[in-house]
Amino acid sequence: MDPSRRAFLSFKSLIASLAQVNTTSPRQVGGEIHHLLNRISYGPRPGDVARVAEVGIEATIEQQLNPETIDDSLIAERLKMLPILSMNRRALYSSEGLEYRAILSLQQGMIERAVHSERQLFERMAEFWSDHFNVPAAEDLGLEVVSYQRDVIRRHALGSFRDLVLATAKHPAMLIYLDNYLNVAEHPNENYARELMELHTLGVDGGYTEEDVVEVARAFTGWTIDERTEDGFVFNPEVHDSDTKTILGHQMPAGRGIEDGLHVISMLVTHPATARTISFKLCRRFVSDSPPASLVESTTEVFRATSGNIKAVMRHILNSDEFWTSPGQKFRRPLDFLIAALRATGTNVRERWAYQMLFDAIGQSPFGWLPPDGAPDTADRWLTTNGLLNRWNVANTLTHGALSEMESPFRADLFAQIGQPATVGDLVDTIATQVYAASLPETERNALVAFVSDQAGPDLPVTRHLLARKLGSLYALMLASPLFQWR
Amino acid sequence: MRIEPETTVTRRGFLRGAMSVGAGAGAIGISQSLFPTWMPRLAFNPKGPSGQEAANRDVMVVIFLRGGIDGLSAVVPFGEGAAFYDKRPSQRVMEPGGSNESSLDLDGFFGMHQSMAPLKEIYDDQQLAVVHATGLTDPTRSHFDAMLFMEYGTPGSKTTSMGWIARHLETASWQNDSPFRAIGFGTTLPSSLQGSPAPLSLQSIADFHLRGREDELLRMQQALQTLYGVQAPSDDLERQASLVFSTISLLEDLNVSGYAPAAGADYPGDEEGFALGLQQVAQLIKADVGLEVATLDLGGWDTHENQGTHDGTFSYLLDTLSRSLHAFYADLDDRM
Repeated sequence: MDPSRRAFLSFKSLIASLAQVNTTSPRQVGGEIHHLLNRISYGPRPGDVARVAEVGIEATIEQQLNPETIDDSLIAERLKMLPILSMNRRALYSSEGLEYRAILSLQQGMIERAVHSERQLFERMAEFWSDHFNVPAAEDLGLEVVSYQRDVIRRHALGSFRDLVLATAKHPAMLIYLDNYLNVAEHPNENYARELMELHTLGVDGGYTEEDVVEVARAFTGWTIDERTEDGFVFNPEVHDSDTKTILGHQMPAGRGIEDGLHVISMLVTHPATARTISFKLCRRFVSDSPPASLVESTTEVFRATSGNIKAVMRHILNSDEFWTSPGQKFRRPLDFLIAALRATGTNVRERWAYQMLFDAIGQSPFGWLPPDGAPDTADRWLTTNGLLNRWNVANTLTHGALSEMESPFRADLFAQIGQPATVGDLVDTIATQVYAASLPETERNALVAFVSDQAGPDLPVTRHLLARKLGSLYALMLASPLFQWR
Repeated sequence: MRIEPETTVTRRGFLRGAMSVGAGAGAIGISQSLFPTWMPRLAFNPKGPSGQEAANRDVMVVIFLRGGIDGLSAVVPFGEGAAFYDKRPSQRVMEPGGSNESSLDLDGFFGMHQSMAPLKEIYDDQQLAVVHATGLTDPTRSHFDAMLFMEYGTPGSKTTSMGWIARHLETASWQNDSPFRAIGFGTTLPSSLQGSPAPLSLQSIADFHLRGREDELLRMQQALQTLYGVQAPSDDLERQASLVFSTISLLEDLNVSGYAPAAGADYPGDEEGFALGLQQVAQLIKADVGLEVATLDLGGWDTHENQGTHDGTFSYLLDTLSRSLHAFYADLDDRM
């Protein structure tokens, strides 16, 4: 069987294995722009739909694919309060005791960017690759992850897949996390070699063997860390295994050094199984938990034709018919939910400690997934009993906190945002437009009207007293509703 | 230590004692289908024989030691001598003796790691069995595939998309509509429960209630029930929402925060919350709320360079595991 045929067949089994039965009916409100914003951004803010309508859908996609063309001075200003994120590795290590602050800064920076950056698709891509090439900001890795996120993940998030793999392979965060810094000719360590093929490139059914893992590990012997170099990487020829190797059926000559590992990366990033694995994961992230085979197929072709040009691949997905016929099919992950809630309500988190409280309460934290497979993407893992209750409680915490007259870490001017609605019906419609960028289906509207009016109906006049009693809970219900859990 | 099929072993006695360490998945109580036919008949009986009270129902507690516990360092076959140690030159858990690397003698052949001392006590009371050399029949070395194969119970196939516990519950000859029938402790649902009719994921039963403005909570709850269609749930989301409410209402009757473990049940305060999870399982068992299966995770066994012998991550985790299980055992007392 020729290799591409084999890769294709194994890919078919990958698809089958990953396509979970989804017995939950996706829910959607709103039109095309709402759908686009739900996928390329962290959820629409009030006014976003109108802004896209003005620019046009195609132009918006092109803008987002070229983030450098989008003015993002607001987020640049906000990130000044997190100076650690712009420190180079040398500076990070020359100051004492930054480890814990580094982790907090990374997490806070992630939320700040997701909430406030105008380059939303770029942030989504950074999140995708951060999951794909997962290195948790935990234990002693915090400082390295600051550089890893900035100099590797974000630098190449819309660039070339080959550059991304090479940069992850050489970064101390990855070298330490997957033990390649210990990988020497006398004691080969297979951890990185295995995950490089299983998780980063070919995929678990990508047609490699245990023998290939051993051989790839030998190819990467000597790829290690050195605190004296600028980027922390060094190739140490003295511990490199320079004998011949056979990898995926290819012979590698003896007597080489760093070329062995570079050659392996070249082989892996151009392998058909890699094109399929990455295309499948991108389609799963941006389209549906079980993406249509037709889309995965066409995306794979674009990946191969462009040698893994991430921007071209994303352009293809976002302009595909399959993308546009998939609204409401992605279940928000806990952090998605949290960020979308902050955006929809215009809530600011004013205290650093409050981020940790929110992460604990929602059950997910940025850069907090410990195993190398990255946080799960699909509804079957996140749709849980306690997970739902967490969302409802976080919704209440945010909206009541924002309205609290006492000291609260959350601020949102909810009263100003609603204007002067005359009736309960108007009030519910106004907030629905703000939160969903769409009007509510009748059942949902009726339930919320009944709640606010204590069953009196949509024509009940809105009074200051009523608002004082109901506004926080109404906002919370908007966020807690099934409609808000899907995107 | 070698387990012989004895016809005198009682079902309950066996169930409460079984703990497999070979593959990283431990279970207290195992259903009959997992055993070869020469084993004594071990009917799994959640309701007890007819006439028995609910208090006697069997409960299965499945503990997944994620990351792959080194079973040969937890319970070491020191009796093999050089035949074992020569093949495993890095093995530092040694035969019983006085050093901090020596193990606790079980039967002259196997020895427990010192950090498992709390379990040794239960072993000596003949209430604990160690099942060695069990594990995966599939040779995969992918951690993720290996976990999935174990949790689906279908080595080599990832297309099952239904966990082994979910299949067990669905095909059992009895049914039980308690929301507490199957509980997964943690923030994500374990694959073993995936596909269950209504798996309940719990982080903490003490915190399981709706928070909001006090004087609006009841009305808010009603609004959520309408929004989620919990009267007649028609999909997974609505079923989960429905479970939230039935769980809240059942827990309200339990006085969760007033729980006092039985004398001698000294749950450690581990960072991972594992002991707390077990304590909550014990509490639910004693409350007779219909619990049949609980799953818990204790992760971090992929210790790599930090494994150590008596002072590394491995021994820390073993200590947490053993003290937690010991406390659980003491807490359940006559319910074991």
